[in-house]
Amino acid sequence: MTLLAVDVLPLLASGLATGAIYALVGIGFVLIHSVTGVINFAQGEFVMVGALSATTLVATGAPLALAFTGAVALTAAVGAIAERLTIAPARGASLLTLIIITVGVSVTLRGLALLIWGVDPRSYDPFTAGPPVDVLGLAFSRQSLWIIGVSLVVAGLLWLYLERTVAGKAMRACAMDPDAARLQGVSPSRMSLYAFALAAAVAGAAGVVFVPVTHAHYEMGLFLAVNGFTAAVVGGLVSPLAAVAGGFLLGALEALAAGLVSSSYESVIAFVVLFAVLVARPRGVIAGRA
Amino acid sequence: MRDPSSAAPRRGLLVGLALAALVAVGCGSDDDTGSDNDPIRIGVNVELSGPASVLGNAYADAAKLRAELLNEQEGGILGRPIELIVTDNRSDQTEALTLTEELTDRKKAVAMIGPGTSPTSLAAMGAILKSGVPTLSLGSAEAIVSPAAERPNVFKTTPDGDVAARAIVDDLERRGLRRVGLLSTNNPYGDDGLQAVERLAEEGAIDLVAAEKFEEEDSDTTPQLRRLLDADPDALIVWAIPPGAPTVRRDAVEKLDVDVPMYFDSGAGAELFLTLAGASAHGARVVQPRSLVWNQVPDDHPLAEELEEFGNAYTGEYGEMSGFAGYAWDSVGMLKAAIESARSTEPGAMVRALEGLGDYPGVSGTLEFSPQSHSALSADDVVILEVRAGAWTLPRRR
Amino acid sequence: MIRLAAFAVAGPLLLAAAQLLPFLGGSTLVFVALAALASTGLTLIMGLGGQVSLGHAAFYGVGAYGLALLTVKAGWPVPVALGAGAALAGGLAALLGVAVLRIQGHFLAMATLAFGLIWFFFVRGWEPAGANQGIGGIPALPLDDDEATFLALWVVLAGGVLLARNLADSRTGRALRALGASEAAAGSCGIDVARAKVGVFVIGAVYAAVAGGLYAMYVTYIAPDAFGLLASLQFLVIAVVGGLGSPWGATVGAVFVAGLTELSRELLPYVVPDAAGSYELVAYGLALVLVLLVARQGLAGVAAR
Repeated sequence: MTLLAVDVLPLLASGLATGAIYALVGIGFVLIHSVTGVINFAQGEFVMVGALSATTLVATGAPLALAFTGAVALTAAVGAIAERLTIAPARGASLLTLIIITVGVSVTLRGLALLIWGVDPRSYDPFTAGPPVDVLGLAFSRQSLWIIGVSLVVAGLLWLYLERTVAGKAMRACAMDPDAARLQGVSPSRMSLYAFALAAAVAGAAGVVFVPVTHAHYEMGLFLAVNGFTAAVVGGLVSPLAAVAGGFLLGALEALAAGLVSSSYESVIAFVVLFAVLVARPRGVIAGRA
Repeated sequence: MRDPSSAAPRRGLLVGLALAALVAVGCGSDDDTGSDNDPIRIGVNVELSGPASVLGNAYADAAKLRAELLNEQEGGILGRPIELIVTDNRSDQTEALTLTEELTDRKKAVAMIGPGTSPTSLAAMGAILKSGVPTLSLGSAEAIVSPAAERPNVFKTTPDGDVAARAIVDDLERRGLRRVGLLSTNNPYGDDGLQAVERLAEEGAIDLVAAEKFEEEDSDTTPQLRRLLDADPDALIVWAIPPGAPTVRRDAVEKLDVDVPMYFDSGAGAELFLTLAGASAHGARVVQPRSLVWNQVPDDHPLAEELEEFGNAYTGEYGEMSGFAGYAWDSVGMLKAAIESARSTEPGAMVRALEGLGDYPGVSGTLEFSPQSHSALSADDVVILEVRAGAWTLPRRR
Repeated sequence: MIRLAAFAVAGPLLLAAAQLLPFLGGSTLVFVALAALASTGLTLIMGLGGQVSLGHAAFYGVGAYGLALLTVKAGWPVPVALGAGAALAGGLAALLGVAVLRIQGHFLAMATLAFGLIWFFFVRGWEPAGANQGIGGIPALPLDDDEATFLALWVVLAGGVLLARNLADSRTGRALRALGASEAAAGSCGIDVARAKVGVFVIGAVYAAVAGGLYAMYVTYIAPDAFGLLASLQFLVIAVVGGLGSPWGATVGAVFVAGLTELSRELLPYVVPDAAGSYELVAYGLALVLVLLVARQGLAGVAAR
């Protein structure tokens, strides 16, 4: 039996890397929910759109920065269009109906992706080439560091936006009290549009960064959505930063379970813990402490 | 939940509609017995989308090409053109069942190729058996065609999971490697391989020192690989299809610097494995039918001619060769041979003809069915290939 | 009574329609009836109990696996196995219902989602249940013919819908429906709200388990893949699209979803030849969105007006 510390650290590194992926997806969920109250089941598909369009752009020879910007812009546009066509007309519908509508959007996007890009997974090389990097004794692949970095930066920027800018606060006001917000001259309908576009942009960025690690294919959305949603809920659906923390927690839990207990049950353990947490603290781990 | 308030007329309308519909039903549906020049309809029930799409698409492509060539060169079967009805079961069990019904019942196919995986084949089994239509499944599980008495009209042209496992273990024995670690996907496909390897370990040929599972979507398999390496194996076996298989290879080579030989089962036989694994694929060993390396097979091999024709046609049409394509190619060929032998498309006659075909020269090997065995291939029909310079190579010995 | 007669007639009517429309096969109709039965349970849980459940397929699976294991491995007679599966699902639902009583909204959705996934991952790794390979050789339904099977299942479904309607119209049911307005008021009617909610959860689970057991006997081979998240989402879509406000909403939803899937599969090759499942997905997704935009309360809400 090797020392526990020697076993655990590499697992944690692996967990943080996958956790960053969940974190980035979770941020999108929190954003839309905090502004509109809707759980966007198509969030995973937004990531997929960003990922696949980036592979196409890269394949045509575009430099990475251009591919990144292009993919993010395209995904944001998709998010905005989806919101205008499906959420905006459904104003006043029950929350459950809205959720099912986003399920419909996710199915449609999946079908369109299959149409455009086919069934084979696509990929491109990591942003920076080279062997894994040593950080505080833990080995991280270079792309994983990119993912972790992007998730922290995005979360930080969003938090600043929502907490410290007038526009961001207006967004949050809409979720808390749409009528009061309207009285202040803020349009909940417009805020909803911005929230979706923003969340889609974040998802698009996530997709671009994920590709070297997860590959891009039309079905990648569901798995990401479930884990991203979990990350967001563990964070209490409160703030992007909490979602990031939730994501890391989830990733670490899965890796530890796979490495220390049994790889057959890695997913079970993660969700059992989540379930226990929700029962004990119905408002999520991180928010629940507040 | 409101109170009912319908009036009598509405009820009457309902009843009237029902009667009208029943009358229409009573008139019965078309009875298609067909004439001598009608096309021979063969259904193809495969996974064109969903997790198993890499297999399903190769199957469909190969079947379509074979049918097309047979129609062009020989006018089809007994002078009747082959009409393939290709459908997508989305790797979904319910869909596979529904499509079986549609193909054999409504579309009047005289034979069916597919489904392409074990779960879809087993889920559709009820409908397959009920239809009585000769079905050449492309799934790998032995349970699809066994016990033969309970599967009178079901056949498979793919090797059983055991065959690939045995080929790997034979190679390990030849190289004097005993301690084996196994990494398989956490789904029916992976479990098939796990059980096959476990059985061989019980027989004593190898020591299975560690076995781990991973999810197809996992982007990082290093936790599982570490656990396997901790057990100090002489070799690793990986039982997965792309994109899982190349992910494992990359993780092993790039992150963990694995230096023990790694064997992949036939699921890795697609171009996708090479594309996604990139440079890390070099040195990986894969179990495959000879069809994958058709252009490296020596000219004196008994199946050289068939392989040449198949390889040229398939790569000419689709570019890259796929290790899966051969099975579907052979399926079409065997159906043709059976119909010609029986001079009939009647299900019972076709089944007997298939069982009595004897040695059929296919591109996957020498295929043979019998009343006792509806599985056509054996361990002689697969080889161990190694990836060199971005391509699969056939060791000169075989 | 007229409602009931209309519902009863709708079954053979559907069957007749299927004969006329070449693309509605017998097995499709059987799956419609099974899905409708399971989803009616979900309608009760969500429409009556007001609780989101994203793990409904777990109960469906408990019924299926319960029947399969007890008949194949333990040799129990079918009706007993069916009942045992239903009881087991009910017990699980009671535990789940109690555990999540305090949880609301999205967290409740997450908790039920987690529950469903836990069950799925567990059964997938459980050797006695065949793990990934599943179980085969399940005793088949006594009826050989798809059409007859459908009609028999329709009778069961009609009974389920009737029961659901009676539950909704009972004192407890009406109190629960009033819960949306005021939890305190409902409580003041002398109804133990907590117990009622858990009770509805249990009943809804039993619906799913019975449907699951019958499903297992229809297909005679089950594997974990049919009972995962996608199945739960399917039930959810059927229940909501059909209309949570009506006991026969789920039935309408099931017919709609099946009809849509079959129709798009049949028609699309004429629009675009050689199409893989991609076009069907697009059509399905768009239709889903459209229906809910047009009929906010689901299809049954439209019909009942």
